[in-house]
Amino acid sequence: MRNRVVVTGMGAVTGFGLGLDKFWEGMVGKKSAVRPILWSSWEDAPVQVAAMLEEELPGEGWRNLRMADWALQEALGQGRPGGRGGIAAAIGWPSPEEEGEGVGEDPIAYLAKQNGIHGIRIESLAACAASTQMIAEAFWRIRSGEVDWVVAGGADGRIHPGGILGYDRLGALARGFRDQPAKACRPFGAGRSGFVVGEGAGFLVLENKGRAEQRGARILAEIRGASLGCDAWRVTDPGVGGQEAEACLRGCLEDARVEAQEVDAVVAHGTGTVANDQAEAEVLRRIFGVNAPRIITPKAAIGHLSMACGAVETVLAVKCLQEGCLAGPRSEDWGSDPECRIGANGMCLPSTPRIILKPSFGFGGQNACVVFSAYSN
Amino acid sequence: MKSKEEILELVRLAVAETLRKKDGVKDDQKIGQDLGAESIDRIDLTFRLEEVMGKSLDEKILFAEPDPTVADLARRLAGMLDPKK
Repeated sequence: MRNRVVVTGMGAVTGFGLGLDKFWEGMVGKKSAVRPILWSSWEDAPVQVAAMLEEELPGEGWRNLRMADWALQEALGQGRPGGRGGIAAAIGWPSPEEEGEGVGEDPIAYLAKQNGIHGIRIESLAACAASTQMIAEAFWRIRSGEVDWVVAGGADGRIHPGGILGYDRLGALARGFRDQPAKACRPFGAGRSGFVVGEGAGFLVLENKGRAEQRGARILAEIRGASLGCDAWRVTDPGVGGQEAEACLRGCLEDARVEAQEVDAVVAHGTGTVANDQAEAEVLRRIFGVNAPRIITPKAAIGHLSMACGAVETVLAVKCLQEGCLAGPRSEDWGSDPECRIGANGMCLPSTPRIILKPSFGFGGQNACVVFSAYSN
Repeated sequence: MKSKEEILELVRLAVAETLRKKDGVKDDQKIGQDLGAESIDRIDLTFRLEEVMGKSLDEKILFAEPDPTVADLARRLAGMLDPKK
């Protein structure tokens, strides 16, 4: 018999600040964490906004690793599971200027050591699908019975001149918007021009359902299925036709044995680039047909967290199921691009969401998808 | 080995609990059409029956078309548990 797997802890660091509560407050209040970049002699640079964490982050050294440690501790702080565990994480490398604590060390081993996590260790460098892949891998290891729990997620941020210029040279970033930063990233919207760089971390404690119930853990949601895929096409473009991405989403629903029409919402990858959103909308149209679920687009408010985006967006999906409401920016916020229209009958609005799908698509044509359901005992 | 009547009673209970039917369910009610089960409910019901029976079950056989009634489900389950098959 397969083990069921639930979420029993979550942590997040975003441009809204340290902690899941600040992230959720930003999402519910439809706020934006995108702000002007105030570095000296940056006034003439083409890219003028980013979703940076302004709150002081404890410690010094490798910022991504410190954000990871913060979110991981928040997640595990909600009650530590027993039995054999592990860690699955995707951590963005340090910026060229960073030195000190953690730099030069293996980030996964560092986090395991800091937090006393024994057992399996898994990592991923699958670009923007990396942390979603980590959640998928963790889920499968628990479902198969290999381990009883895994803390899974990621941390990343490239808000430094090299990081921003690199993305800008690929034509991926929204330029300008210094005076109206909240409007820079418009996923699935008409006239969208690219994404905004963000930073942060997200971690989830995934645990064997029976064991979680036995120890009286607070269960936030259940993970039902996962899938991975690779376009094997080009480094910076989604595969033509989107068949691999579509197969990944369908594979996820199949793994969960859930039918597409029962999905209440998709926390989309929705970067705000012309190419991603067009390809993603096409895939969602093919899967959901005329009756589209609600499409949530967190990157509009917290920017693109590179390898960590999937984990932070999964935290949002689980929180929506836990709270019984859908929060965050939506695909229809920015006027409709006909090429990105999803669902001819308009969005259906469930009173209480029961099933949420979370796809991620990374550079290199790397795809990952996970699906969660609300928990009821 | 459980009798057919015991299995039927376990199925009635599992269906009522999983689908949150406080007043219980009737044997001739169809799982999908009458009781409103979606695919995720059928999976949960399979999980519940696996727990009760201590055995892996194939929900594709349990819930194969036509939409089974509570009694049909018990019959299919009994068939799957029968060591002679």
